[in-house]
Amino acid sequence: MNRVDQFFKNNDPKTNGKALTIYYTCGVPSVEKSAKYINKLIDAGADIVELGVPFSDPVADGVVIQEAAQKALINNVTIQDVIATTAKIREQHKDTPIVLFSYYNVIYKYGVEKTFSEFANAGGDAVLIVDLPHEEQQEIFEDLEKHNLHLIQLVAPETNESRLNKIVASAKGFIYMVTVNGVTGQRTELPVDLSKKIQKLVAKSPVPVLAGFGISNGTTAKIAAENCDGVIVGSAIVKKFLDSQYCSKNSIESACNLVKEIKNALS
Amino acid sequence: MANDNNKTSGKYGIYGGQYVPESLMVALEELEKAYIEAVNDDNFWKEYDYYIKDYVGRKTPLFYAERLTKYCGGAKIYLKREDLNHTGAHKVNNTLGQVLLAKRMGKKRLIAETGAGMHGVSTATMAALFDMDCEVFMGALDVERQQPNVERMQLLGATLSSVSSGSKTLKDAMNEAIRNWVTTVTDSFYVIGTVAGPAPYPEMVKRFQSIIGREAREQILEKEKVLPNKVIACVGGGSNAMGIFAGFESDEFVELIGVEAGGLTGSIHDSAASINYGSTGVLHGCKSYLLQDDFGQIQEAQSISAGLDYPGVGPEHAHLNDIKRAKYTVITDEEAIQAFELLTKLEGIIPALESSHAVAEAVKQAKQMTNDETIIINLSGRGDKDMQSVMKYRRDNPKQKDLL
Repeated sequence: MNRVDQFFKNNDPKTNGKALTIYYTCGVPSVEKSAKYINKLIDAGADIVELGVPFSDPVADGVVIQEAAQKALINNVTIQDVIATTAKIREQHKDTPIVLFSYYNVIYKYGVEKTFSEFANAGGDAVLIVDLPHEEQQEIFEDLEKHNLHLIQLVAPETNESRLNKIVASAKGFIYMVTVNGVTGQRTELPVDLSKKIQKLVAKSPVPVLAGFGISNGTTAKIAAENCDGVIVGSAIVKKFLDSQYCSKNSIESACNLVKEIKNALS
Repeated sequence: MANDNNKTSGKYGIYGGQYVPESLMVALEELEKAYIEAVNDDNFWKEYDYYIKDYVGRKTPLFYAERLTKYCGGAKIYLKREDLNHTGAHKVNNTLGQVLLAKRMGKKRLIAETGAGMHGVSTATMAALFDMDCEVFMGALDVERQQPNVERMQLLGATLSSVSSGSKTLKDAMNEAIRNWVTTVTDSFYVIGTVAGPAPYPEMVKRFQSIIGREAREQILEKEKVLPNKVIACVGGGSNAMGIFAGFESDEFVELIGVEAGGLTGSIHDSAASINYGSTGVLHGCKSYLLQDDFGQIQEAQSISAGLDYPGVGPEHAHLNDIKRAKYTVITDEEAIQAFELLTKLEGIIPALESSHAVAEAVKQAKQMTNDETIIINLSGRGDKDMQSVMKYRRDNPKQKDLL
């Protein structure tokens, strides 16, 4: 069974809390430290890891993840490094689901089949491609299936009924519910009609629903997760590793504390 | 062309498509539906025709460049004078169409990206004319090298956002425009300036620009009684080229030539020539040729011409290249500058640096042709905006020898 499915099958929200997925831009502050820090964040309570592949033109991302990608690219981080990082996380955590989080061009250029094959061999479980909407996914399905990888679907606030039906029909693993119109990044508050939209999606979805975008602490996590199965936190964590040029011991401590705070709020 | 009531095909061979975040898909669905309704509505075209004639000043002349022809001593050269459009370039053919569509859809705010500033000026002009809000995204480097256009946009009432990420040029302006669109998608209309982006943009922009080719075909038949041997246009994203190619694409004996920017040296590491030096990839919503490294990171394009300084190209151009219906060549900065100087001195027409690339290619080709053959150059814009760039270039690079 795919580790994502295994996780949700085994996870009892009453004892372990709802799911906390963290997003981490691979290569920040360095490739070596990425694996080390992600392993610590899992120990601190992160349930699922989205491993971000840096891209030169991240149109769906706000300033924090843009900056992280830029720093990673200055370090010459490639898809091969991301796959190697996957293997290092897998050595330490044999059950934690790992999602490759990427823009399509990086995968397309390296080769869709090649990427999926190497990622699956390294212990990866699922793929999320930000700029590959339902209409364009046909071209990768065969390769996904071949390597037993789930494709994580995104649902946006603007997604209408007919699209929603198509998306849930091909959903596997979990659905990523984007909470706001906009790019990734921290926000002071979430939209008022969010819970309605989440409830509607949860009612239709055959797989768990996690809410992401704009969730930066225990309070926003609790609100976002109220009617679904958990949250995804990205920028708030990545930001900790951008604060100082030489990412200090404080960064990882402070990121681990944030994970603990959010996990606590989900329990 | 629209092939059924609700959808365009959106694909050109393996190119095109809709590679955007889910947050934009509903906006694209709505746009496509509104676009197809509009182009099937006579009233939409009545309004478009009214403004294109009385406001933009079409039709633009097809001018026989007699002195340039004599200089080359070969084929007869005609210029399709898109530089004479209101706002000084072909861009307005498209912005007028898109903004009338935005108005029809009830949108109150326009977003645009711009490289040389011509599309930004054109969108800002439409925003003034139709009383809409307008925000234009422009790379910080382009803001610097196209100052007159920055001032025009501001005078027209647009908000100008200077983009300092990445290469600080058109690609980054487009990233920021897309980010802004994702955030304001319910009330804003994104006016894309070229035949790229997600479907239906490439088709829609071509449709509005095809007026160039339609007119040029009629005009050349009137003047020469035969079709031209070659049609030559510069290609950044490729909207002016697609516009003029559209008039001749079914005339299989008319050679279509797109001219890419070769930058300083015209080499693979130093240009904006995506078709000549790029490989297939996905950027800004469509699959096409891109300048990128082995790991799919987009490379910075390089050209003296801000309007061609883009590491991608419209998907239909990629397809026309692959099926060999069009040919794509490369012209360097120096050749383009010499063409700029040449046309100015011989014909009293100061071409945009973008269009100068097409002029340079035409001069080279005309010399190899006979005097019973003809070439049409799409003179896509005027060069007032480029005076500073040309002067600076010439200070740094004195002319060594005649290349044209």
